[in-house]
Amino acid sequence: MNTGTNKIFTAEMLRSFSETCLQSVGTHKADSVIIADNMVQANLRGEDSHGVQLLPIWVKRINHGGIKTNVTMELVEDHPSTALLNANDGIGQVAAVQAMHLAVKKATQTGFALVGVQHISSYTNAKHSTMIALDHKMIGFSMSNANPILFAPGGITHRIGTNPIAFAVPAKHEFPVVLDMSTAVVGHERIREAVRQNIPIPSEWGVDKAGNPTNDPNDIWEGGSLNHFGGYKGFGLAVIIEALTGVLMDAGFTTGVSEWFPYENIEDRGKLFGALNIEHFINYDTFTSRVDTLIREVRASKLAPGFERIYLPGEKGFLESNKRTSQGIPLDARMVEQLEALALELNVSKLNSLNSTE
Amino acid sequence: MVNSREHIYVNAESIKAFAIRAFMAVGVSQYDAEITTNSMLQAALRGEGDHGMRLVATWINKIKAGGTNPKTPISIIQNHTSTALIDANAGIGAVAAAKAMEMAIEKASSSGAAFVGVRNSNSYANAKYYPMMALESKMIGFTFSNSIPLIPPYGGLTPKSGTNPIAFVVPSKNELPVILDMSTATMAFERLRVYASLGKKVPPGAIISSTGHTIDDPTLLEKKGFLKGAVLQAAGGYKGFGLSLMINLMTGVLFDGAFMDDLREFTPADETEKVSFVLGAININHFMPYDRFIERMDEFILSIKDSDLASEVDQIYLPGEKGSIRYKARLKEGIPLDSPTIETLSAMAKELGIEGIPGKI
Repeated sequence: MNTGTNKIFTAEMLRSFSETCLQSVGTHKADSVIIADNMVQANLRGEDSHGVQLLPIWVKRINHGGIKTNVTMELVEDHPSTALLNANDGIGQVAAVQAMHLAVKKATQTGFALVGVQHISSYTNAKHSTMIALDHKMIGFSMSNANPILFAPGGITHRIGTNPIAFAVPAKHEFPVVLDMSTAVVGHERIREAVRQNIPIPSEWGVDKAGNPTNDPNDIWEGGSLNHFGGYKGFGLAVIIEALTGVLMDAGFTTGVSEWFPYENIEDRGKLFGALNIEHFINYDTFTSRVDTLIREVRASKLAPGFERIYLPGEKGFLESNKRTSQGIPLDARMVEQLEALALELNVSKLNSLNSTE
Repeated sequence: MVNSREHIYVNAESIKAFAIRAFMAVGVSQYDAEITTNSMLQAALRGEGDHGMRLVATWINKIKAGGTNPKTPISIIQNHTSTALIDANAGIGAVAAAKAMEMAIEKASSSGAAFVGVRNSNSYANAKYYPMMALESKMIGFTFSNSIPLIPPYGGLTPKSGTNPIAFVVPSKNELPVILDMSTATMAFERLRVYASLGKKVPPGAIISSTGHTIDDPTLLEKKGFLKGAVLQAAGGYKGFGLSLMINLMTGVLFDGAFMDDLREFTPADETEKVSFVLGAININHFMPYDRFIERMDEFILSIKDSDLASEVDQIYLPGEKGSIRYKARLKEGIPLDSPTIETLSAMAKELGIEGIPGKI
């Protein structure tokens, strides 16, 4: 083994390690399983920024009281097709799963349901809860507000979050279509990576603190802002998401939403989960066949120069997930080191003791 | 004849009466003619000329040619607590959309939220008009629609999804309501048509040729058959395409309606567009008291506006704000019509044998 090379872990090892760490700081077993599954799903899909690299952060936030493990969700409002839940600053990933199950249950009866959650922390991997709808032959969607790190177009004060939105639509033989995107032009981690590597970024990505386009990722980091995707369109969508989550769910909005640091911060986000009952419109099998047709049509597009194939939303993640399920999940040495340090701190079995392979 | 740079101003009431006369002359009921006209008039007053009065002639041609059934004989295919599916039977998009929105509002008033689908329709043009109907019922309204494939997937060159508009309308108290109405392409199809009709060049990057080259002259595309071969760029690359695709899946595909290449555009006039769309309503009172919600919306809007400004920026506008300001101004000043629109509408009046607008059309 060399430092700098990747070590390979199975999904099971990472789940088990995460669950142990989370339980050691007071997380209920069932809740730890959901958080671990949320993160490991992201790792499997190749979306490592939402994977186990977040584990040390969750553990610290739980330890500092930023995320509460001993609270229960309350039903604040309950109607045939809508509900409002209070997560009481509990675990976002867990509240998200519960909310999505409730949305599915309601949509089974009424056809369409919206379940809001107030006072909730980040769910980070949005598709984890959203995709629950697929198991019930439904279309699922979710959205969340976030701490304000973006300018409004024309403004130079941080006023709105990267407000993510996710959709999951089942297919028959093809992979489900799973769109999971933030309303910013690119993820913040791309900027962090460009800063680390000291490389320029496209001027469309963001602006400096005075609002001028920049190629220097440091300008965005130091008081500047990412742009919204498609300019005012992404901003418009972010505004609607904020209205439907923080404002409508009686949770924090804009500067009322906090970031993860310092660890004791209560995020106070609002989220919205939706389910749409396919059978209330069309026979489920007919629908999934039609989705397959559409997917194959899209894939048959003539290719632009430099591209080898077309990927549908979420498709790369499914392909990577199949690959990593059989070949394992690579973590870089720095990541492994951080997880081992966490194990030491929490006095739980080290990750390497779980028989990793190289 | 006025030249193309000049406009004449027509007041809203007279153009409204004129459009209603025109629709009724081709067999549309007075009630439906009013809905259809109001939708276009709102776009014209808000300064969105591409979905404004110019469309009266387009839609009437389609009725005359048989692509649109002026009676809009809708049938209800599915009806559940919070969902319904309507077949517009080739009727007028505005009429079918307004009926679907009424149904959505009624369902959401008891269940909390509703999602009503329409298939086999002609396009509804001014998307925001229908969800704005929810404002009176103290609800949030939304809509989205499929449309002919014009944007390629990320990494592709063949158009595989439409400019698929999406609109959300959220009420506020003393501030203007938030009205998002956007296409998932960098530029709406109708706006391209306006550019083409005025001979204007489009901003770089909005359209590319089928071989991947940037085009700035929409008339080049027009020569090949109206915008056939045009490839619009999705807003924000794969994000805009992803949203457009989701709209496709949650409309035509879900409603057993037409999707992708089975959809048609305005022309040829004798063909139905066969578009599908959704009208949705969210009952605010089922989440929190309406009065408190609109106060919170004001607070949210003011927080966005209370921002330091980049140089040469006067103020921050929320979605729909500019249009709402223009709407008020144009109610007083009148609606500017350009010469191609005036010529088209005059020719139409003559053909239909209806009274024009004295001194104008």
